[in-house]
Amino acid sequence: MNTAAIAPQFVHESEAQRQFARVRMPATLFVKLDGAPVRFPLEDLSAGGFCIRLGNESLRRGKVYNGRLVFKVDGMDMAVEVEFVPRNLGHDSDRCGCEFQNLGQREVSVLRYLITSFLSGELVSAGDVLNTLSRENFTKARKSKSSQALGFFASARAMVVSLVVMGIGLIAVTFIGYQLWQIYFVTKAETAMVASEDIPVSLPKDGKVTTLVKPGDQVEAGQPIATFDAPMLAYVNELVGNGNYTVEQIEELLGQSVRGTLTSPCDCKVLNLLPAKDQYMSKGEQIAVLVPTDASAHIIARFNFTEGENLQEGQSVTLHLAGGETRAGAIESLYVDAETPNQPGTAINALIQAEEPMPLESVGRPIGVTVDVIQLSALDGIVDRVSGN
Amino acid sequence: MSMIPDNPFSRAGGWCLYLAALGSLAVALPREFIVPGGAHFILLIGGIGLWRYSVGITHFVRGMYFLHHAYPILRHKARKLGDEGAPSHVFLMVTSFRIDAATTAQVYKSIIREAIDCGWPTTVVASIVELSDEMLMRSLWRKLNPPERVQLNLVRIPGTGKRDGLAYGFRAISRAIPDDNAIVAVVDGDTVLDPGVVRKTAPYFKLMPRVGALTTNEFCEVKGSYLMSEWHKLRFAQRHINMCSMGLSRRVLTLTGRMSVFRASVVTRPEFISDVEYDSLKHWRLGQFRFLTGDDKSSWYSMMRLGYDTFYVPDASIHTVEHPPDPSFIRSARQLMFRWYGNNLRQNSRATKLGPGRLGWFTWYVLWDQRISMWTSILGLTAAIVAAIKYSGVILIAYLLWIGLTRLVLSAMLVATGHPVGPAYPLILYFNQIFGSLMKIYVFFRLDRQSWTRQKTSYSTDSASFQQRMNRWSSRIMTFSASSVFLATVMFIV
Repeated sequence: MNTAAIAPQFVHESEAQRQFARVRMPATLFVKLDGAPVRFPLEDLSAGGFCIRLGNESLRRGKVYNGRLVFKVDGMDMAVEVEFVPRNLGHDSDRCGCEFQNLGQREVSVLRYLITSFLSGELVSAGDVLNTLSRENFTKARKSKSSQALGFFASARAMVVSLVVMGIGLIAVTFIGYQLWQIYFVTKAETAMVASEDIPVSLPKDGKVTTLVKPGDQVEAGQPIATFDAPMLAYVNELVGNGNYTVEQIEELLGQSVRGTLTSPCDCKVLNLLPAKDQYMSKGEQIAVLVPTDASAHIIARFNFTEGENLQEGQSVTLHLAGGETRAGAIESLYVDAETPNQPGTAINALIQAEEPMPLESVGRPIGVTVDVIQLSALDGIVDRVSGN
Repeated sequence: MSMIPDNPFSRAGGWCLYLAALGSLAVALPREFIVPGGAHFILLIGGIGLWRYSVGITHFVRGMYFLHHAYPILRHKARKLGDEGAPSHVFLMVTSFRIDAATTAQVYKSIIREAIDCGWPTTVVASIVELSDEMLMRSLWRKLNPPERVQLNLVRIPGTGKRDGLAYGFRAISRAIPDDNAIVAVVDGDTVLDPGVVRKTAPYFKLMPRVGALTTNEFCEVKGSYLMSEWHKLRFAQRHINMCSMGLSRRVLTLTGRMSVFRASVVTRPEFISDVEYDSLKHWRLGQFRFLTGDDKSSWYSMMRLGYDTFYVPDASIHTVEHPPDPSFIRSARQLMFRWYGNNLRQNSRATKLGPGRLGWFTWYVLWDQRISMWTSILGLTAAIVAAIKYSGVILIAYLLWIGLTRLVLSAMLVATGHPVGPAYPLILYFNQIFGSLMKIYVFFRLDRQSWTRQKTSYSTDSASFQQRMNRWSSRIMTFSASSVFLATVMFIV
């Protein structure tokens, strides 16, 4: 072996040196030459090869021969199949040095065991040889620790699925963000409704009512909405108070009735109407709600008192109509909803005007009102100031 | 925490402190409180809580039934077997690698003593890396001077990991050609056998021919702080109940690497040895990777696949010496949980694939439950926090009071295991639940990361590193998405 490659300062020539200990071990080599088995006594043996006495036979240098080495162990013959190449053929003697070729693991193990035992003076037993053969005498190749990567399609699939999952995650985060925004930055009205300046029309007297218009109809000022037949008794009562009447007088008064007409006080739209035909209704009952044609709807919202600090007049709000539609609006005025006069209440009422007028049909309907604590208009103001406008 | 002395007074003081804390929480609650936002979320969370607690109670009831009823009957039968229950040969196999010498000596001594005391033909197989361990073993062997029927087999191996150590040891045993009645006890290098373990466990292999392996009760001595020590003890108490519960259906879920006894005919099967030596998992996203730790999971899986039952012997016990990996409690807990839960979850997906036919419905459900529990365990706290943000902090106080009370009950239940219960238990129980869930969620998406190998920090541009980079990013994406979907769901419900 030349170690020059490892340490260039030192040259260790070893070609002519014996690398392995040679032992004189009683053994025989059997080789088939020209079809006939020939027996050679072994001179010595090492891990690298062996030496034999050729006698009258001759072997060719460099040719690969098959043979079997036979050792005597415990009175039994033990054979090891070997391939060998004759290397040194003596000129003046019949010694022949041979080198092992392609020794298998089991053969190497057995030879090593025999040589080592022989050198250390131990007894060689058949059991030990069998034991040696049954053992694993060579370490296995180290398993590579590196894990196996995915193939192209598997990687692509993994990536696509990961991206899809990321999309889902982003949606979820958006939802969480929205929820947190709603909790921290949005004040929500407890209740709100669309209202307008409506004109209630109610019955002046007890009587039988017949309506003349339908809800949604357009009426002009003075146009009749309904007629009623009130018993004379009601009029008389009103004029002279509760007098003492005889039974006959009451019967007479009940028998007669006065017909009256309810007319519209304005150019209006009929918003709410109890349709009736000759139906008895008592005095003061509301028959219809009229809304002036030129009136606009506004919103009345009720907020929790603790949220008052987030509210101020002129603040813009978002109106949520049924069906998911939203509109912008602004708080026109704020007032505490006092249940009893001059006593502070627990709620704040806000009168809100929508930016675009609300349709009249929506009067009386519920509506959602939210107030963003951080106002976009305020942001606009900052942007304007920064840009120098 | 190491300042805290552990005596009856400090324990009583600790319990008083705990109760006082619960009392102050109760006082802090208002007399009347209307739950805003409707009660539907309380119904839902209550329903989930009911389910979770019922799983726990099921385990407890099963465990207690096994411990006090089913097992004593089996023990009686096993004792009646007498000499018939004796194994033909006992192998005590120990693997050790660079464990503190005092511990190693303690372990070896207990093994040799056990070999001498069991009275059966025994071979001690020591799978050893270092020469120092070999010398220790030789000198102890000489000192204890075992009788003729006890043999020693030293297997020197390269230090390439415990799995290799086990495989070499198993092969060494297989060369002795043990018969069907031989048993192999696999002992870890930090485990001291309590006297009589072998005699207590061996007859069950005769009694139950389908049992391929069994494992024992475990107590520990912790070389660490008070908290660390209580934490480990709590774990072993919980483990005892779970093992008892699973032992009832002969499906003990772990063949603890610390000490398990196997049938020799199983251990010498080449399939089994190769399962333990080289175990890997193919993951749809992370590719194929080797199992580095968790040899006990591999042996369990192999056992299940080969069609054996596994059993638990609650009155045979071992003592382990625990060396926490880090002086800080949190860091230690994190590292250990990372390893335990990683092993557990790596095992879980393929174990569930064995199906209820092989595992039985209860075991199959329990395996599924391990995957669900990491989310349900933090559901309560998450919901309480979200409700506190949305409505009122009172909800959080009420929730903490509820947790404090229930953990008190759970701790009281652990007394039934015979493991000592300290005042820190309720806190540790809850810490384990929350921190454990977070760790599980983290690990679940990083199954390729195994604690004792540090991932390479420098990346080159070949395909393997592309895989690593992709794994890293996709793991992050998965964790992010899963937790945000979880949070969004909770916010939606509450």
